[in-house]
Amino acid sequence: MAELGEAQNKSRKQTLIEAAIWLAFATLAYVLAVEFDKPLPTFPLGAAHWPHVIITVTLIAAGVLIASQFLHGVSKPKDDVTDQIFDEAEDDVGPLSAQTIAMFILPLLWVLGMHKLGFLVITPFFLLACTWIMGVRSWKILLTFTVSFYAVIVLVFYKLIFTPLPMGAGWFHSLNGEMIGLIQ
Amino acid sequence: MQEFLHGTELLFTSPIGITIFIGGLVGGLVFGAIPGLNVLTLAAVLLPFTAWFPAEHAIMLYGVIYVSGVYGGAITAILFNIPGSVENAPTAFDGYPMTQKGQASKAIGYAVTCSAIGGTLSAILMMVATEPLANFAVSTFGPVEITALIFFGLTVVAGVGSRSLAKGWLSLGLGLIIGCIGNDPVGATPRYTFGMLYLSGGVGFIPLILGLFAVSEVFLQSQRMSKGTYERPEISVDFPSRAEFWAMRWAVVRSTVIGWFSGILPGVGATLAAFLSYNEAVRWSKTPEKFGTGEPEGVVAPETANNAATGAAMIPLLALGLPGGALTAMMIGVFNVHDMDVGPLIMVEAPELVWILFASMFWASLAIFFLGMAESKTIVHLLRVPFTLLAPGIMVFSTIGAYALRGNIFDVLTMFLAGIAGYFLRKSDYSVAAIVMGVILGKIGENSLAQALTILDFNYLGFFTEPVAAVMVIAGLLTVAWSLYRRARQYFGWGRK
Repeated sequence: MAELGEAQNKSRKQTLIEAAIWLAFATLAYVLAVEFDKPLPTFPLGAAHWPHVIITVTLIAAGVLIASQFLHGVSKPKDDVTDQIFDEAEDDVGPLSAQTIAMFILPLLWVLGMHKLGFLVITPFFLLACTWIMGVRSWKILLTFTVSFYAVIVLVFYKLIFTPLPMGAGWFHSLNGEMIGLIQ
Repeated sequence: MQEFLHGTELLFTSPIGITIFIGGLVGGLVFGAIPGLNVLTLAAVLLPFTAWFPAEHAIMLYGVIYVSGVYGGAITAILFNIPGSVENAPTAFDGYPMTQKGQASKAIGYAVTCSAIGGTLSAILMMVATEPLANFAVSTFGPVEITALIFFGLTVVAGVGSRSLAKGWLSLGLGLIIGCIGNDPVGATPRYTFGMLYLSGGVGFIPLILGLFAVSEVFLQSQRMSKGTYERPEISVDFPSRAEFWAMRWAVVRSTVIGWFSGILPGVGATLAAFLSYNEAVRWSKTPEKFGTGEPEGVVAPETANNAATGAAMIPLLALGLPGGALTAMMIGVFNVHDMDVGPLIMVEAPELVWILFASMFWASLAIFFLGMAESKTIVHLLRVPFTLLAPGIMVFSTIGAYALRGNIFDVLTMFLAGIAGYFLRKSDYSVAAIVMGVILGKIGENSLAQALTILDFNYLGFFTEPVAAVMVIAGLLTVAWSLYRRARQYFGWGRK
């Protein structure tokens, strides 16, 4: 019983934090809207009218979210269909793991790498790192997958359908260009 | 009928015509079904080459690609949570959860059959009723009615995919605010752009859906793997039974009608058809809370509607020269390449061409059924690939898909940031479906609202003076009241012994 109460308190605290974030978000959106809150020649309500409507709805919903934490409902029966369905949702993920944090950071580095070094140069490293982070530890599988998947991408996107992908900057731009020339 | 038979004859009597028909069909299916590619890429790549084709083959090719591509995009939405194009996004809401439950083949079975039914019915309607229906839709649905329709849609959207009604509305609000980023549709005033040129055109919709669906899914599964709670989806090749299809008959009829009418509305096309149809499926369901968790009707409704819209979209295109989406806009390009202008005179000036287009879309819809049936039993085996190897593949294909559309690295960055945000939102039970719907319906809605308010002299009560609009606004208000009552009843246990 005590455990249940603790879990409820934790859930309430989390919901209140979420509601506070939404309130801050709506306030920020409102403050930023001041910049363009002027009547337009063809539309006197101005460009801020629609954002104001949305911000109002968001504030009301955040208010309802807070209020719902202090209303005393009844405990749901165990066969409640809603719970049966949503218990299968994303409740089993738990707090962030180091693997997931690495998965957040890696693509951002890849984007930066693509911008500076070009897609062709950086992608094999991304594939290798991503597969490793996902849990593959066998070097044979890592290398075979990286090489074969990279070959498929190059064949399909550069050779068959000529998709323009990031070329990198400076010297790497020329390098990517030469590599594409060789492929095509 | 005679014109249709003549169109069919012209289509299938030439070996080149048959080759182009099959090529377009397979090309649309393949491009739609490969993550990161979509049918628009194929259509854009082929556009310059159509100059060398006879006009009838060129326009037929685009009709076939349009039909098969809309279906093809459902495959990746169902298998990997990556909608092939925007109109397939609602298919992922329930299609992907079905895959997670080991029902991928069933989901594809529903998608293929309903796409074929929607497309075929739409093609028949297109041939029979082009003129009167076009007149009705174009004369009845002005900005006031479209705004009311979208308001109604938004009220339903808020109830999709989240346990909490407040979280549903907050998700919708986030989507609507994201839709506001960029130049406003009336005076082109920059909003929330922070002076960045990239944001003046708005947040790219494709990167956003790829991030919220595909990338966030990789993050969630990665987290599950690290916690040891990851469960690999089971693979089955069960096709839905006749009884299961029969149970969906009203959903198919309703979605065909919604898809058809949405397709007729100029500038809205298959995307609104799919979203509205999904909304209606939720609204009419006895168990709306099941949507978003693997409800077959959640696949049937958008797939029937987006294919039903393909035929209808030809009406404003051919009759008024107004495209319903990017691909229909390219079709205008095909006509122009062959020195023709689409518009009211096209039926008089080039009736053969129009009937070849109608016939090709009809036969392509039927062909999808047979090709898709084979596909539903084979393509699910892609799920045998371990997720540890699928994840890098999904990331790479999504990146290519996000970048290739506009050639902008910021789109890729947007996608990954949306993926991270999507991870936390999904984890906290917010609805990414409502966010996506908020973005798409908000963009269309704001434009129509501005026009509607101008017509109504900036008086919101004016919506109640237009009969069609009034019905939809009242229906929207009732939807809000009903969902509040339903949640309150659940929360306080009203009526429970």
